[in-house]
Amino acid sequence: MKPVKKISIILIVFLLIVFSFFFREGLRNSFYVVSYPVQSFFWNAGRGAANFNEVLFNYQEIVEEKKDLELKNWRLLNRVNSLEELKKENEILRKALEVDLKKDFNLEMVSLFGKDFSQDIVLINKGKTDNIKEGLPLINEYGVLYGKVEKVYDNFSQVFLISNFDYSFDVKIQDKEIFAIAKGKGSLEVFLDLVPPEKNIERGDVLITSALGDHFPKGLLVGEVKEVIKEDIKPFQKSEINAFFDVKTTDNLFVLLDF
Amino acid sequence: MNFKNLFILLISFYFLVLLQYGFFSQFTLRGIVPNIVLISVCLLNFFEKKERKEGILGSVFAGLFLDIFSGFLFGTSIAALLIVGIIFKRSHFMLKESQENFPLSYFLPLFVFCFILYYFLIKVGIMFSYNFSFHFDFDSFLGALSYNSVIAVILFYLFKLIFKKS
Repeated sequence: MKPVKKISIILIVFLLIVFSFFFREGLRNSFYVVSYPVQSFFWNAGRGAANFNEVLFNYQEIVEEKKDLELKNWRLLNRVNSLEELKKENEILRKALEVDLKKDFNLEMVSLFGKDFSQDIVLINKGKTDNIKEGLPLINEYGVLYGKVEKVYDNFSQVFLISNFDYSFDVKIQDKEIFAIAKGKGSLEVFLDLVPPEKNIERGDVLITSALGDHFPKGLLVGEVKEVIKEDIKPFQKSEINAFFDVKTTDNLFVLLDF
Repeated sequence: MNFKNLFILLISFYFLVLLQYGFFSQFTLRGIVPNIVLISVCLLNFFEKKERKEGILGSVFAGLFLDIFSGFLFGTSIAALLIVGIIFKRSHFMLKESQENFPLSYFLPLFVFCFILYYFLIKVGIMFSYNFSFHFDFDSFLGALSYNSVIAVILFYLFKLIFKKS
């Protein structure tokens, strides 16, 4: 290669890096805007292929999971019946007290279109122009918590999934007065920490967000206890959590604009 | 290398990064994502001829696009991939002057070494970008190393086939 040509190439590359550094915020947003249709296509194609791949390699696991879900379904149906009765009673009481307990959340529907490979961070297709702000929670239609908006650009945002390393928030075990901290482990895994040893946690216990922290509104679904880890020498017990969020099977999610 | 090739290289890595964030990020194994960009940078630097510079430039372009798409400290990926690219190119030729056979026994240890280096460089980048404490989970690291090594070996034979034909 001729020296002049070599220097020109080095200079172009250098200028490209310098330009990108100084205009990174605008550049990131522009790249997301330009790349969105292609990346969205790749995201959907990847999801289809990955799901097929998963079915192929985890057939036995899926069969067992199906049996487990059927069992849970019966249990839940049974519980719904008893809750229906309670609901009727509550309706009557509420009317009597003339108190409207229903609080409407202001929601913004968003779509996922990318995931960071080194961290549990996802990209959503709405940003500052859609009133998205840092710190807002991302949920699905069933109230399952996905994460928190971390960085907002004009048209796009980055969201920390609850499994992202170093991310922690307050949780409560449903139907039990046990409060603890859920912590992200990275690689889409979450664990439960700071549970006093005398508290009884069992496999299958459902975790919801608590009102103790200001991060999220209370009552959002987080996950269920997979395995309880008790060690005599440690002052607190830990648990592995099976988080309810799933980035592979999600079409649309919602950002809670106020809570 | 002319400007046309430079442009093709730039576009190729742009689409590769889009594929990484959109397509390959869904092929998780226990939450671990295959790093196709890193594997491609390693393979390009391993297979190209000594006098060619596409591998090094490809490392810079790949790092540039990764830095644009990710939220962390700008320059982290450029530096990490450039270091990996240089190590790969230099070490490969130090191991054997004539690289006609492209043996896997050279590629795999180099890849493992570069993966470990890249892994820690990115961890440091994340630490500074988000004020996180340094965290090392051996199980997760071992999983990522194994998963990426398997994919690297598969792609190694694919690259070998392509480079033999060209």
